[in-house]
Amino acid sequence: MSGRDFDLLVVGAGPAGAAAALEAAGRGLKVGLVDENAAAGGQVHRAPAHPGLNGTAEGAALRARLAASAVVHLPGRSVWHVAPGFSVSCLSPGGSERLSAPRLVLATGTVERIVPVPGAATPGVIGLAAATILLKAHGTHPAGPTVVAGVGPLVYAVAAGLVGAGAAVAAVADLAAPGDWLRRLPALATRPALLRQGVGWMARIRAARVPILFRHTIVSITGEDRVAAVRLAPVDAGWRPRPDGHRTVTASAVAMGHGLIPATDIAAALGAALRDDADSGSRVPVTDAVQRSSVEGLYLAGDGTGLAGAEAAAQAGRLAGLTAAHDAGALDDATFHRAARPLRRARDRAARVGRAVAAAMAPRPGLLGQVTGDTVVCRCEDVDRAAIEAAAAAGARDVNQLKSATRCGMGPCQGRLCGEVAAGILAACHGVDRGAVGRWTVRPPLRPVPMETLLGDFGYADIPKPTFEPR
Amino acid sequence: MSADGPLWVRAPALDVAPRCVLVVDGVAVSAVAGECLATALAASGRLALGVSPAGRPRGLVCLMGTCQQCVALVDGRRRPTCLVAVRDGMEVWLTDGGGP
Repeated sequence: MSGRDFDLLVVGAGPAGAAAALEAAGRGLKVGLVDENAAAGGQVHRAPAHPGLNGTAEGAALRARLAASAVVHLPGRSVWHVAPGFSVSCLSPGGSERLSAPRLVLATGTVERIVPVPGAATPGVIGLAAATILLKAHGTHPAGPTVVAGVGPLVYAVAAGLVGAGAAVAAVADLAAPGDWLRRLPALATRPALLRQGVGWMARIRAARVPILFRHTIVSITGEDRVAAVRLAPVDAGWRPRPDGHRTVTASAVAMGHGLIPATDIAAALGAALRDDADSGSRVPVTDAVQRSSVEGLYLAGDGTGLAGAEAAAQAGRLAGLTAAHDAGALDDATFHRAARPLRRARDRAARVGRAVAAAMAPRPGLLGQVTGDTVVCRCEDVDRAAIEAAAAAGARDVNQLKSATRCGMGPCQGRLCGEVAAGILAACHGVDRGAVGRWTVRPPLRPVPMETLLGDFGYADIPKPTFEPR
Repeated sequence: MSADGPLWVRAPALDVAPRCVLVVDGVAVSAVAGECLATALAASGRLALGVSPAGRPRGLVCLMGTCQQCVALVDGRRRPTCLVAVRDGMEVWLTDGGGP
Protein backbone atom coordinates (compact mmCIF):
# COMPACT_ATOMS: atom_id res chain seq x y z
CA MET A 1 0.00 0.00 0.00
CA SER A 2 1.26 3.44 -0.85
CA GLY A 3 0.67 6.36 1.54
CA ARG A 4 -0.02 10.06 0.83
CA ASP A 5 -0.42 12.91 3.27
CA PHE A 6 -2.75 15.90 2.98
CA ASP A 7 -3.97 18.78 5.19
CA LEU A 8 -7.54 17.84 4.30
CA LEU A 9 -9.17 14.86 2.64
CA VAL A 10 -12.62 15.11 1.07
CA VAL A 11 -14.61 11.97 0.27
CA GLY A 12 -17.13 12.44 -2.53
CA ALA A 13 -16.75 14.77 -5.53
CA GLY A 14 -20.38 15.77 -5.95
CA PRO A 15 -21.55 19.39 -5.49
CA ALA A 16 -20.75 19.37 -1.74
CA GLY A 17 -17.37 17.61 -1.84
CA ALA A 18 -16.03 19.49 -4.85
CA ALA A 19 -17.03 22.84 -3.31
CA ALA A 20 -15.38 21.89 0.00
CA ALA A 21 -12.16 20.86 -1.74
CA LEU A 22 -12.04 24.02 -3.89
CA GLU A 23 -12.68 26.33 -0.93
CA ALA A 24 -10.07 24.71 1.33
CA ALA A 25 -7.48 24.59 -1.45
CA GLY A 26 -8.20 28.25 -2.20
CA ARG A 27 -7.37 29.01 1.47
CA GLY A 28 -4.01 27.30 1.11
CA LEU A 29 -4.66 23.77 2.35
CA LYS A 30 -3.21 20.75 0.58
CA VAL A 31 -6.42 18.92 -0.35
CA GLY A 32 -7.04 15.40 -1.67
CA LEU A 33 -10.47 14.76 -3.21
CA VAL A 34 -11.37 11.06 -3.30
CA ASP A 35 -14.25 9.84 -5.46
CA GLU A 36 -15.63 6.54 -6.67
CA ASN A 37 -16.49 7.83 -10.14
CA ALA A 38 -14.19 8.49 -13.07
CA ALA A 39 -15.09 12.20 -13.19
CA ALA A 40 -16.26 14.73 -10.61
CA GLY A 41 -19.86 15.95 -10.42
CA GLY A 42 -21.52 13.31 -8.28
CA GLN A 43 -24.74 11.78 -9.52
CA VAL A 44 -26.61 15.08 -10.04
CA HIS A 45 -23.89 16.55 -12.29
CA ARG A 46 -22.59 13.25 -13.63
CA ALA A 47 -20.13 13.69 -16.50
CA PRO A 48 -21.41 12.43 -19.87
CA ALA A 49 -19.50 9.40 -21.16
CA HIS A 50 -19.43 10.91 -24.67
CA PRO A 51 -19.15 14.55 -25.84
CA GLY A 52 -22.29 14.13 -27.96
CA LEU A 53 -24.37 13.85 -24.79
CA ASN A 54 -25.29 16.95 -22.84
CA GLY A 55 -24.25 17.02 -19.21
CA THR A 56 -25.34 19.84 -16.89
CA ALA A 57 -23.65 23.22 -17.26
CA GLU A 58 -22.98 23.19 -13.49
CA GLY A 59 -21.16 19.87 -13.87
CA ALA A 60 -18.92 21.13 -16.68
CA ALA A 61 -18.13 24.30 -14.71
CA LEU A 62 -17.33 22.31 -11.59
CA ARG A 63 -14.95 20.00 -13.46
CA ALA A 64 -13.22 22.97 -15.11
CA ARG A 65 -12.72 24.69 -11.75
CA LEU A 66 -11.30 21.52 -10.21
CA ALA A 67 -8.91 21.03 -13.14
CA ALA A 68 -7.64 24.60 -12.77
CA SER A 69 -7.25 24.32 -8.97
CA ALA A 70 -4.56 22.96 -6.67
CA VAL A 71 -6.91 20.19 -5.48
CA VAL A 72 -5.43 16.72 -5.95
CA HIS A 73 -8.38 14.90 -7.52
CA LEU A 74 -8.24 11.16 -6.91
CA PRO A 75 -11.07 9.62 -8.99
CA GLY A 76 -11.91 5.93 -9.45
CA ARG A 77 -11.29 5.12 -5.79
CA SER A 78 -13.74 3.32 -3.51
CA VAL A 79 -13.19 4.04 0.18
CA TRP A 80 -13.26 0.75 2.11
CA HIS A 81 -11.98 1.91 5.49
CA VAL A 82 -11.54 5.15 7.42
CA ALA A 83 -9.58 5.07 10.68
CA PRO A 84 -9.80 7.90 13.25
CA GLY A 85 -7.27 10.60 12.87
CA PHE A 86 -7.77 10.16 9.72
CA SER A 87 -6.46 7.39 7.54
CA VAL A 88 -8.50 6.61 4.43
CA SER A 89 -8.00 3.28 2.67
CA CYS A 90 -9.19 3.18 -0.93
CA LEU A 91 -9.54 0.52 -3.53
CA SER A 92 -8.20 1.87 -6.81
CA PRO A 93 -7.71 0.21 -10.19
CA GLY A 94 -4.02 -0.11 -9.31
CA GLY A 95 -4.63 -1.83 -5.96
CA SER A 96 -5.07 -0.38 -2.49
CA GLU A 97 -3.95 3.06 -1.42
CA ARG A 98 -3.82 4.73 1.99
CA LEU A 99 -4.29 8.49 2.30
CA SER A 100 -4.04 10.46 5.50
CA ALA A 101 -4.95 13.91 6.80
CA PRO A 102 -5.76 15.43 10.20
CA ARG A 103 -9.07 16.71 8.81
CA LEU A 104 -11.76 14.99 6.78
CA VAL A 105 -14.86 16.20 4.95
CA LEU A 106 -17.46 13.54 4.17
CA ALA A 107 -19.73 14.41 1.25
CA THR A 108 -20.98 10.95 0.36
CA GLY A 109 -24.49 11.89 -0.71
CA THR A 110 -27.30 9.37 -0.71
CA VAL A 111 -28.39 5.96 -1.85
CA GLU A 112 -31.83 5.39 -3.33
CA ARG A 113 -34.54 3.72 -1.30
CA ILE A 114 -36.13 0.99 -3.38
CA VAL A 115 -39.03 -0.64 -1.53
CA PRO A 116 -39.40 -4.06 -3.14
CA VAL A 117 -42.45 -5.99 -4.37
CA PRO A 118 -42.64 -9.56 -5.69
CA GLY A 119 -40.45 -9.70 -8.80
CA ALA A 120 -38.58 -6.45 -8.10
CA ALA A 121 -35.24 -8.28 -8.22
CA THR A 122 -35.88 -9.35 -11.83
CA PRO A 123 -33.18 -8.10 -14.24
CA GLY A 124 -34.52 -5.02 -16.01
CA VAL A 125 -35.88 -3.45 -12.82
CA ILE A 126 -33.61 -0.51 -12.04
CA GLY A 127 -33.61 2.46 -9.67
CA LEU A 128 -34.82 5.90 -10.75
CA ALA A 129 -31.36 7.31 -10.02
CA ALA A 130 -29.81 4.62 -12.23
CA ALA A 131 -32.26 5.48 -15.01
CA THR A 132 -31.28 9.14 -14.71
CA ILE A 133 -27.58 8.27 -15.01
CA LEU A 134 -28.27 6.07 -18.04
CA LEU A 135 -30.23 8.81 -19.79
CA LYS A 136 -27.92 11.72 -18.93
CA ALA A 137 -24.45 10.22 -18.87
CA HIS A 138 -24.72 7.22 -21.16
CA GLY A 139 -27.44 8.01 -23.70
CA THR A 140 -28.55 4.41 -23.26
CA HIS A 141 -31.88 3.24 -21.89
CA PRO A 142 -34.53 0.53 -21.95
CA ALA A 143 -36.42 0.52 -25.23
CA GLY A 144 -39.56 -0.06 -23.22
CA PRO A 145 -42.38 -0.18 -22.65
CA THR A 146 -41.17 0.93 -19.22
CA VAL A 147 -43.19 1.51 -16.06
CA VAL A 148 -41.84 4.44 -14.04
CA ALA A 149 -42.95 4.38 -10.42
CA GLY A 150 -42.25 5.68 -6.94
CA VAL A 151 -42.19 9.14 -5.47
CA GLY A 152 -40.40 12.44 -5.99
CA PRO A 153 -39.19 14.56 -8.89
CA LEU A 154 -37.08 11.72 -10.30
CA VAL A 155 -40.28 9.89 -11.32
CA TYR A 156 -41.10 12.71 -13.74
CA ALA A 157 -37.47 13.37 -14.75
CA VAL A 158 -37.07 9.72 -15.80
CA ALA A 159 -40.46 9.42 -17.54
CA ALA A 160 -39.88 12.68 -19.44
CA GLY A 161 -36.32 11.61 -20.26
CA LEU A 162 -37.50 8.31 -21.71
CA VAL A 163 -40.27 9.99 -23.72
CA GLY A 164 -37.77 12.56 -25.00
CA ALA A 165 -35.43 9.75 -26.07
CA GLY A 166 -38.24 8.19 -28.07
CA ALA A 167 -38.78 5.26 -25.69
CA ALA A 168 -42.21 3.94 -24.76
CA VAL A 169 -43.45 4.59 -21.23
CA ALA A 170 -46.27 2.21 -20.30
CA ALA A 171 -47.38 4.15 -17.23
CA VAL A 172 -46.23 6.54 -14.53
CA ALA A 173 -47.29 5.59 -10.99
CA ASP A 174 -46.76 8.28 -8.35
CA LEU A 175 -47.38 7.56 -4.66
CA ALA A 176 -48.11 11.23 -4.13
CA ALA A 177 -51.35 12.95 -5.08
CA PRO A 178 -51.33 16.29 -6.95
CA GLY A 179 -52.34 17.95 -3.67
CA ASP A 180 -49.14 16.76 -2.00
CA TRP A 181 -47.16 18.85 -4.48
CA LEU A 182 -49.57 21.83 -4.46
CA ARG A 183 -49.09 22.10 -0.71
CA ARG A 184 -45.32 22.60 -1.26
CA LEU A 185 -45.89 25.23 -3.92
CA PRO A 186 -45.01 28.27 -1.78
CA ALA A 187 -41.53 26.88 -1.07
CA LEU A 188 -41.04 25.64 -4.63
CA ALA A 189 -42.07 29.01 -6.06
CA THR A 190 -38.94 30.57 -4.56
CA ARG A 191 -36.96 28.60 -7.18
CA PRO A 192 -38.94 29.26 -10.39
CA ALA A 193 -36.38 27.42 -12.54
CA LEU A 194 -37.04 24.17 -10.67
CA LEU A 195 -40.78 24.69 -10.91
CA ARG A 196 -40.56 25.36 -14.66
CA GLN A 197 -38.52 22.19 -15.11
CA GLY A 198 -41.19 20.14 -13.32
CA VAL A 199 -43.99 21.65 -15.38
CA GLY A 200 -41.99 20.94 -18.55
CA TRP A 201 -41.55 17.28 -17.63
CA MET A 202 -45.26 16.92 -16.96
CA ALA A 203 -46.16 18.54 -20.30
CA ARG A 204 -43.86 16.21 -22.22
CA ILE A 205 -45.27 13.11 -20.49
CA ARG A 206 -48.86 14.20 -21.12
CA ALA A 207 -48.11 15.06 -24.76
CA ALA A 208 -46.94 11.47 -25.27
CA ARG A 209 -50.30 10.32 -23.82
CA VAL A 210 -48.59 8.36 -21.06
CA PRO A 211 -51.09 7.52 -18.31
CA ILE A 212 -50.12 9.21 -15.03
CA LEU A 213 -51.59 7.37 -12.05
CA PHE A 214 -51.47 9.43 -8.85
CA ARG A 215 -51.65 7.64 -5.50
CA HIS A 216 -50.59 4.38 -7.19
CA THR A 217 -47.79 1.92 -6.69
CA ILE A 218 -46.41 -1.25 -8.26
CA VAL A 219 -47.57 -4.34 -6.36
CA SER A 220 -45.88 -7.03 -8.42
CA ILE A 221 -43.59 -7.59 -11.39
CA THR A 222 -43.72 -10.81 -13.40
CA GLY A 223 -41.20 -12.35 -15.76
CA GLU A 224 -38.41 -14.91 -15.43
CA ASP A 225 -35.06 -13.41 -16.44
CA ARG A 226 -36.64 -10.19 -17.72
CA VAL A 227 -39.73 -8.11 -17.02
CA ALA A 228 -42.94 -9.19 -18.76
CA ALA A 229 -45.76 -7.42 -16.91
CA VAL A 230 -46.33 -5.01 -14.03
CA ARG A 231 -49.33 -4.90 -11.69
CA LEU A 232 -50.35 -1.49 -10.38
CA ALA A 233 -52.63 -0.69 -7.47
CA PRO A 234 -54.07 2.47 -5.92
CA VAL A 235 -52.78 3.36 -2.44
CA ASP A 236 -54.46 5.06 0.52
CA ALA A 237 -53.23 8.34 2.03
CA GLY A 238 -50.64 6.39 4.05
CA TRP A 239 -49.40 4.74 0.81
CA ARG A 240 -50.77 1.27 1.66
CA PRO A 241 -51.91 -0.58 -1.49
CA ARG A 242 -55.69 -0.99 -1.71
CA PRO A 243 -57.06 -4.48 -2.38
CA ASP A 244 -59.16 -3.41 -5.37
CA GLY A 245 -58.73 -1.35 -8.51
CA HIS A 246 -55.59 -3.21 -9.65
CA ARG A 247 -54.55 -3.19 -13.29
CA THR A 248 -51.84 -5.05 -15.20
CA VAL A 249 -49.72 -3.45 -17.92
CA THR A 250 -47.33 -5.10 -20.35
CA ALA A 251 -43.78 -3.85 -19.86
CA SER A 252 -40.20 -4.94 -20.51
CA ALA A 253 -38.54 -2.67 -17.97
CA VAL A 254 -39.25 -0.88 -14.70
CA ALA A 255 -37.62 2.17 -13.12
CA MET A 256 -38.68 2.56 -9.50
CA GLY A 257 -37.50 4.47 -6.43
CA HIS A 258 -38.95 5.72 -3.17
CA GLY A 259 -36.79 8.61 -2.14
CA LEU A 260 -33.22 8.96 -0.98
CA ILE A 261 -31.40 7.72 2.11
CA PRO A 262 -28.33 9.65 3.33
CA ALA A 263 -25.16 7.55 3.08
CA THR A 264 -23.88 7.78 6.63
CA ASP A 265 -21.80 4.64 7.04
CA ILE A 266 -18.37 6.31 7.28
CA ALA A 267 -19.59 8.99 9.70
CA ALA A 268 -21.30 6.33 11.83
CA ALA A 269 -18.19 4.14 11.83
CA LEU A 270 -16.16 7.13 13.08
CA GLY A 271 -18.60 7.58 15.95
CA ALA A 272 -20.29 10.80 14.81
CA ALA A 273 -23.47 11.63 16.74
CA LEU A 274 -26.65 10.96 14.75
CA ARG A 275 -30.18 12.37 14.83
CA ASP A 276 -33.55 11.19 13.49
CA ASP A 277 -34.43 12.69 10.13
CA ALA A 278 -38.13 12.45 9.26
CA ASP A 279 -37.67 13.60 5.65
CA SER A 280 -35.48 10.63 4.74
CA GLY A 281 -36.98 8.28 7.30
CA SER A 282 -33.50 7.47 8.60
CA ARG A 283 -30.80 8.76 10.95
CA VAL A 284 -28.26 11.34 9.83
CA PRO A 285 -25.11 12.82 11.40
CA VAL A 286 -25.50 15.94 13.54
CA THR A 287 -23.75 19.04 12.18
CA ASP A 288 -23.24 22.45 13.78
CA ALA A 289 -24.00 25.74 11.99
CA VAL A 290 -20.69 25.58 10.08
CA GLN A 291 -20.72 21.84 9.14
CA ARG A 292 -18.63 20.40 11.99
CA SER A 293 -19.65 16.94 13.20
CA SER A 294 -19.41 15.80 16.83
CA VAL A 295 -16.00 14.25 16.03
CA GLU A 296 -12.98 16.57 16.13
CA GLY A 297 -11.63 17.27 12.63
CA LEU A 298 -14.60 15.63 10.90
CA TYR A 299 -16.86 17.80 8.73
CA LEU A 300 -19.99 16.82 6.83
CA ALA A 301 -21.81 18.40 3.91
CA GLY A 302 -24.47 17.65 1.34
CA ASP A 303 -27.45 15.33 1.27
CA GLY A 304 -25.58 12.85 3.47
CA THR A 305 -26.48 15.18 6.38
CA GLY A 306 -30.18 15.35 5.46
CA LEU A 307 -31.93 15.90 2.14
CA ALA A 308 -31.67 19.51 1.00
CA GLY A 309 -30.73 19.28 -2.70
CA ALA A 310 -27.75 20.10 -4.89
CA GLU A 311 -27.70 23.87 -4.45
CA ALA A 312 -27.77 23.65 -0.65
CA ALA A 313 -25.11 20.91 -0.87
CA ALA A 314 -22.75 23.17 -2.82
CA GLN A 315 -23.13 26.00 -0.26
CA ALA A 316 -22.72 23.61 2.68
CA GLY A 317 -19.67 22.08 1.01
CA ARG A 318 -18.03 25.45 0.56
CA LEU A 319 -18.75 26.23 4.19
CA ALA A 320 -17.26 22.89 5.31
CA GLY A 321 -14.08 23.66 3.35
CA LEU A 322 -13.92 27.14 4.89
CA THR A 323 -14.43 25.81 8.44
CA ALA A 324 -11.78 23.12 7.95
CA ALA A 325 -9.35 25.78 6.70
CA HIS A 326 -10.14 27.97 9.73
CA ASP A 327 -9.73 25.09 12.18
CA ALA A 328 -6.40 24.25 10.50
CA GLY A 329 -5.23 27.80 11.24
CA ALA A 330 -5.33 29.03 7.64
CA LEU A 331 -7.57 32.02 8.50
CA ASP A 332 -8.33 34.04 11.62
CA ASP A 333 -11.67 34.14 13.43
CA ALA A 334 -12.80 37.49 12.03
CA THR A 335 -12.10 36.50 8.42
CA PHE A 336 -13.80 33.16 8.98
CA HIS A 337 -16.99 34.64 10.41
CA ARG A 338 -17.14 37.26 7.67
CA ALA A 339 -16.78 34.61 4.95
CA ALA A 340 -19.08 32.09 6.64
CA ARG A 341 -22.10 34.37 7.08
CA PRO A 342 -23.18 34.64 3.39
CA LEU A 343 -22.52 30.93 2.85
CA ARG A 344 -24.75 30.00 5.79
CA ARG A 345 -27.51 32.25 4.46
CA ALA A 346 -27.25 30.83 0.92
CA ARG A 347 -27.21 27.28 2.28
CA ASP A 348 -30.31 27.82 4.42
CA ARG A 349 -32.21 29.58 1.65
CA ALA A 350 -31.55 26.75 -0.84
CA ALA A 351 -32.26 24.10 1.80
CA ARG A 352 -35.81 25.42 2.34
CA VAL A 353 -36.71 24.34 -1.21
CA GLY A 354 -34.78 21.07 -0.99
CA ARG A 355 -36.46 20.19 2.28
CA ALA A 356 -39.92 20.93 0.87
CA VAL A 357 -39.26 18.42 -1.92
CA ALA A 358 -37.83 15.91 0.56
CA ALA A 359 -40.84 16.24 2.86
CA ALA A 360 -43.19 15.43 -0.03
CA MET A 361 -41.13 12.28 -0.65
CA ALA A 362 -40.82 11.23 3.01
CA PRO A 363 -41.81 7.60 3.43
CA ARG A 364 -45.25 6.96 4.92
CA PRO A 365 -46.07 3.98 7.13
CA GLY A 366 -48.22 2.14 4.56
CA LEU A 367 -45.39 1.97 2.01
CA LEU A 368 -44.09 -1.28 3.49
CA GLY A 369 -47.54 -2.78 2.76
CA GLN A 370 -46.40 -3.49 -0.80
CA VAL A 371 -43.68 -5.80 0.59
CA THR A 372 -45.57 -9.12 0.74
CA GLY A 373 -44.31 -12.20 2.61
CA ASP A 374 -42.77 -13.75 -0.51
CA THR A 375 -41.04 -10.50 -1.57
CA VAL A 376 -37.24 -10.71 -1.62
CA VAL A 377 -36.02 -7.90 0.66
CA CYS A 378 -32.29 -8.73 0.71
CA ARG A 379 -31.29 -9.51 -2.87
CA CYS A 380 -27.73 -10.51 -2.04
CA GLU A 381 -28.83 -13.30 0.33
CA ASP A 382 -32.38 -14.04 -0.93
CA VAL A 383 -34.10 -13.13 2.34
CA ASP A 384 -37.84 -12.48 2.00
CA ARG A 385 -40.22 -10.64 4.30
CA ALA A 386 -41.61 -13.88 5.74
CA ALA A 387 -38.09 -14.84 6.90
CA ILE A 388 -37.68 -11.44 8.59
CA GLU A 389 -41.03 -11.82 10.33
CA ALA A 390 -40.12 -15.36 11.44
CA ALA A 391 -36.86 -14.06 12.93
CA ALA A 392 -38.76 -11.28 14.70
CA ALA A 393 -41.23 -13.83 16.10
CA ALA A 394 -38.28 -15.94 17.26
CA GLY A 395 -36.94 -13.00 19.26
CA ALA A 396 -34.83 -10.76 16.97
CA ARG A 397 -35.45 -7.23 18.27
CA ASP A 398 -32.43 -5.45 16.81
CA VAL A 399 -31.29 -5.22 13.19
CA ASN A 400 -27.99 -6.92 14.01
CA GLN A 401 -29.85 -9.83 15.62
CA LEU A 402 -31.94 -9.99 12.45
CA LYS A 403 -28.74 -10.11 10.41
CA SER A 404 -27.33 -12.98 12.48
CA ALA A 405 -30.60 -14.91 12.26
CA THR A 406 -31.33 -14.50 8.54
CA ARG A 407 -28.13 -13.20 6.80
CA CYS A 408 -30.25 -10.18 5.74
CA GLY A 409 -27.78 -7.37 5.00
CA MET A 410 -24.78 -9.67 5.16
CA GLY A 411 -24.15 -9.87 1.40
CA PRO A 412 -21.85 -7.78 -0.81
CA CYS A 413 -24.00 -4.61 -0.63
CA GLN A 414 -23.82 -4.83 3.18
CA GLY A 415 -27.43 -3.81 3.59
CA ARG A 416 -27.17 -0.56 1.66
CA LEU A 417 -29.99 -1.64 -0.63
CA CYS A 418 -32.25 -3.46 1.86
CA GLY A 419 -31.20 -2.23 5.30
CA GLU A 420 -33.79 0.48 5.90
CA VAL A 421 -36.64 -1.63 4.46
CA ALA A 422 -35.65 -4.62 6.61
CA ALA A 423 -35.37 -2.38 9.67
CA GLY A 424 -38.82 -0.93 8.95
CA ILE A 425 -40.34 -4.41 8.71
CA LEU A 426 -38.66 -5.49 11.97
CA ALA A 427 -39.94 -2.36 13.71
CA ALA A 428 -43.46 -3.03 12.37
CA CYS A 429 -43.30 -6.62 13.69
CA HIS A 430 -42.66 -5.31 17.20
CA GLY A 431 -44.93 -2.27 16.87
CA VAL A 432 -42.08 0.14 17.60
CA ASP A 433 -40.41 3.07 15.80
CA ARG A 434 -37.55 2.53 13.35
CA GLY A 435 -35.11 3.96 15.93
CA ALA A 436 -35.99 1.25 18.48
CA VAL A 437 -34.54 -1.57 16.34
CA GLY A 438 -31.05 -0.09 16.35
CA ARG A 439 -28.44 0.63 13.72
CA TRP A 440 -26.64 -1.81 11.46
CA THR A 441 -23.11 -2.21 12.76
CA VAL A 442 -20.67 -0.75 10.23
CA ARG A 443 -17.37 -2.56 9.88
CA PRO A 444 -14.57 -2.41 7.34
CA PRO A 445 -14.31 -3.26 4.55
CA LEU A 446 -17.02 -0.74 3.60
CA ARG A 447 -16.81 -2.06 0.04
CA PRO A 448 -15.88 -5.59 -1.09
CA VAL A 449 -12.09 -5.74 -1.44
CA PRO A 450 -10.32 -8.52 -3.37
CA MET A 451 -8.10 -10.55 -1.04
CA GLU A 452 -5.06 -10.12 -3.30
CA THR A 453 -5.47 -6.33 -3.01
CA LEU A 454 -5.42 -6.48 0.78
CA LEU A 455 -2.36 -8.70 0.75
CA GLY A 456 -0.48 -6.58 -1.79
CA ASP A 457 3.08 -7.85 -2.22
CA PHE A 458 2.87 -9.87 0.99
CA GLY A 459 3.67 -13.49 0.13
CA TYR A 460 3.70 -16.86 1.81
CA ALA A 461 7.46 -16.59 2.43
CA ASP A 462 6.87 -13.38 4.46
CA ILE A 463 4.90 -15.24 7.14
CA PRO A 464 7.13 -15.51 10.21
CA LYS A 465 7.57 -19.18 11.07
CA PRO A 466 7.89 -20.12 14.74
CA THR A 467 11.05 -22.03 15.56
CA PHE A 468 11.09 -24.61 18.31
CA GLU A 469 13.42 -23.74 21.11
CA PRO A 470 15.48 -26.51 22.63
CA ARG A 471 14.35 -27.40 26.15
CA MET B 1 -34.52 -10.90 -26.46
CA SER B 2 -38.06 -9.77 -27.24
CA ALA B 3 -39.35 -10.74 -30.67
CA ASP B 4 -39.92 -7.18 -31.87
CA GLY B 5 -36.60 -5.46 -31.21
CA PRO B 6 -33.80 -4.76 -28.81
CA LEU B 7 -34.47 -4.43 -25.06
CA TRP B 8 -32.19 -1.39 -24.71
CA VAL B 9 -31.41 1.37 -27.20
CA ARG B 10 -28.85 4.14 -27.71
CA ALA B 11 -29.29 7.87 -28.28
CA PRO B 12 -28.66 8.91 -31.92
CA ALA B 13 -25.81 11.14 -30.65
CA LEU B 14 -23.84 7.95 -30.00
CA ASP B 15 -24.00 6.81 -33.65
CA VAL B 16 -20.74 8.64 -34.33
CA ALA B 17 -19.08 7.77 -31.01
CA PRO B 18 -15.81 5.84 -31.16
CA ARG B 19 -16.31 2.17 -30.34
CA CYS B 20 -14.25 -0.51 -28.69
CA VAL B 21 -14.60 -4.28 -28.54
CA LEU B 22 -14.81 -6.36 -25.37
CA VAL B 23 -14.89 -10.12 -25.01
CA VAL B 24 -17.83 -11.18 -22.82
CA ASP B 25 -18.03 -14.88 -21.94
CA GLY B 26 -15.87 -15.51 -25.00
CA VAL B 27 -18.07 -13.45 -27.38
CA ALA B 28 -17.02 -10.14 -28.98
CA VAL B 29 -19.25 -7.24 -27.85
CA SER B 30 -19.09 -3.72 -29.30
CA ALA B 31 -19.27 -0.84 -26.79
CA VAL B 32 -19.12 2.95 -26.82
CA ALA B 33 -15.62 4.05 -25.78
CA GLY B 34 -15.75 5.71 -22.36
CA GLU B 35 -19.03 4.22 -21.14
CA CYS B 36 -19.25 1.99 -18.11
CA LEU B 37 -19.22 -1.75 -18.54
CA ALA B 38 -22.68 -2.23 -16.99
CA THR B 39 -24.20 0.00 -19.69
CA ALA B 40 -22.32 -1.81 -22.46
CA LEU B 41 -23.61 -5.16 -21.17
CA ALA B 42 -27.20 -3.91 -20.94
CA ALA B 43 -27.03 -2.36 -24.42
CA SER B 44 -25.88 -5.75 -25.77
CA GLY B 45 -29.01 -7.35 -24.25
CA ARG B 46 -27.22 -8.83 -21.22
CA LEU B 47 -29.49 -7.89 -18.34
CA ALA B 48 -28.92 -10.94 -16.13
CA LEU B 49 -25.37 -10.44 -14.86
CA GLY B 50 -25.20 -12.81 -11.91
CA VAL B 51 -27.23 -15.17 -9.76
CA SER B 52 -28.46 -14.99 -6.18
CA PRO B 53 -27.65 -17.76 -3.66
CA ALA B 54 -30.95 -19.41 -4.60
CA GLY B 55 -30.03 -19.30 -8.28
CA ARG B 56 -32.27 -16.41 -9.32
CA PRO B 57 -30.97 -14.04 -12.03
CA ARG B 58 -29.80 -10.61 -10.88
CA GLY B 59 -29.07 -7.45 -12.88
CA LEU B 60 -27.90 -3.89 -12.38
CA VAL B 61 -29.92 -1.76 -9.94
CA CYS B 62 -28.17 1.42 -8.80
CA LEU B 63 -25.43 2.11 -11.37
CA MET B 64 -23.38 3.95 -8.72
CA GLY B 65 -21.33 1.26 -7.02
CA THR B 66 -23.64 0.61 -4.08
CA CYS B 67 -25.79 -2.43 -4.84
CA GLN B 68 -23.06 -4.84 -6.01
CA GLN B 69 -25.64 -6.66 -8.16
CA CYS B 70 -23.71 -5.98 -11.38
CA VAL B 71 -20.42 -7.58 -10.30
CA ALA B 72 -18.57 -9.56 -12.98
CA LEU B 73 -15.08 -10.92 -13.47
CA VAL B 74 -13.24 -8.14 -15.33
CA ASP B 75 -9.71 -8.94 -16.53
CA GLY B 76 -9.44 -11.47 -13.74
CA ARG B 77 -10.89 -9.33 -10.92
CA ARG B 78 -14.40 -9.20 -9.48
CA ARG B 79 -15.58 -5.61 -10.03
CA PRO B 80 -18.91 -3.76 -9.98
CA THR B 81 -19.31 -3.28 -13.74
CA CYS B 82 -20.93 0.14 -13.22
CA LEU B 83 -17.61 1.49 -11.88
CA VAL B 84 -15.46 0.07 -14.70
CA ALA B 85 -14.91 2.04 -17.92
CA VAL B 86 -14.83 -0.19 -21.01
CA ARG B 87 -11.52 -0.71 -22.76
CA ASP B 88 -10.58 -2.38 -26.04
CA GLY B 89 -9.82 -6.06 -25.47
CA MET B 90 -11.32 -6.13 -21.96
CA GLU B 91 -12.10 -9.71 -20.92
CA VAL B 92 -15.36 -10.10 -19.02
CA TRP B 93 -16.92 -13.19 -17.49
CA LEU B 94 -20.41 -12.96 -16.05
CA THR B 95 -20.82 -14.86 -12.82
CA ASP B 96 -24.02 -16.72 -13.73
CA GLY B 97 -22.41 -20.12 -13.84
CA GLY B 98 -20.12 -19.15 -16.73
CA GLY B 99 -16.58 -17.94 -16.17
CA PRO B 100 -13.20 -19.50 -16.83
